[in-house]
Amino acid sequence: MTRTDEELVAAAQAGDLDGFNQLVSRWERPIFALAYRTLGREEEARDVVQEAFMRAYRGLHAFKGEAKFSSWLYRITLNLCRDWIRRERRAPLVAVPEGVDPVDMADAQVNPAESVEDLVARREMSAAVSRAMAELPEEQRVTILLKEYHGLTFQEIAEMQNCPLSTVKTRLYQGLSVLRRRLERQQKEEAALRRATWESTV
Amino acid sequence: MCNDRERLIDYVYGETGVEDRRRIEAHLDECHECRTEMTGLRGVRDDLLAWDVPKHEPIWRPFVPVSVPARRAWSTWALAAAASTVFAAGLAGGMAARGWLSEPADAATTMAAAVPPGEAVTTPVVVPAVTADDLARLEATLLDRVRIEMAEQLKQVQVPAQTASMARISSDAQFNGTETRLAVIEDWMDDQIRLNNIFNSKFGSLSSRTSSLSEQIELSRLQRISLDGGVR
Repeated sequence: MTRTDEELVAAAQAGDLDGFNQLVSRWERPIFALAYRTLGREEEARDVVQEAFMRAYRGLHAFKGEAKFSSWLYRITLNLCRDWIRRERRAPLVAVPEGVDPVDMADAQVNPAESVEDLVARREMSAAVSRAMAELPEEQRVTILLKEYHGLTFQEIAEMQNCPLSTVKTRLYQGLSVLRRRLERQQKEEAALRRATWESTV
Repeated sequence: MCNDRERLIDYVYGETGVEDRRRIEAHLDECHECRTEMTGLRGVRDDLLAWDVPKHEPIWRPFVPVSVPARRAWSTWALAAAASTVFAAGLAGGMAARGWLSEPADAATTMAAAVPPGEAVTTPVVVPAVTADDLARLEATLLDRVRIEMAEQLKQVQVPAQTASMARISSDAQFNGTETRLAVIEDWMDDQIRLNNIFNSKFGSLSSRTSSLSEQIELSRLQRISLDGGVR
């Protein structure tokens, strides 16, 4: 039977290392995704994941379960990402795919039914979203990340960011509105570029 | 409703009550502006789904609990207990002969009590899986060296010291002069202090080495985890 996070945390606090291993196994991918989307750098995201779990392990005895274990982990991860950005004085990097390699494309083709054209379009959209997100203010970006990719409730995000519920919703609304305008603009620019390329070759 | 973007956000994310949802839907049926806004928000949420995260190998290497075998615990303690017994016996002999040196005997008892059986070795040591055997071997080697060294040095110390003491006791019985008796007592003091110092240096060294071994193991674990811990 699958144990809940709370049960695994209790076991780990009592010295059951396997309990902690199971927690890591369960949460490593979401934590990596959060770090990667926050920093835009894979290697740095890996470092953050490692450090986040190290801190979680060392601080587990102090975790009282007032928040969910996952929220606690997310908070540790975001703090580490923020520290890294401030220390390095670098903005989140925009992960732009380099060209279209058929082998690489085959690897990325999660759904076999997806055509290469669809896959290319999805990759372009991924890069466009990454670019647009990197330009958002930190509070809006983190709010969107926690809500869209990690499914936290407004209340959980408010507690994590130490702000009122209404602020979370405002940040989300403003962030999504800015993203929407930027993505629409990018799509128009790309369409214009494709049209110009096509006209020049005809 | 048109100016209440928070409610629209609640609706888009499905975090409204049943009644509120009905009211918002009724408004959306009538308000083109809010309907466009909601469609736009849903559209950008769909776009966000396209943002991929690269595939990666597991980053964290699972912890594996490693307990140092009890054999080493028992041997270390037995050695310490044997050493303290020998020393206490030597002191008792001296005290019986001279009614003296009660203070060092107390010190010896305190030292023996300061090393409870198995304390340093039954504590589970957490190390990454790959280095556990290396650390256990290293610890076993060091403990074996300490044990052998300790046993040899104790053997060398006990025999001459006890022989010399017995010789002085018998020779002391042959003298009745106060000056001679005092000289013998001083010799006894020197012997016992020397024996005590040697014992302290060996037994204290063993205790500190045992505890420093545990610290070294923990330190090694932390250093390894800091350097590459969790990374495959």
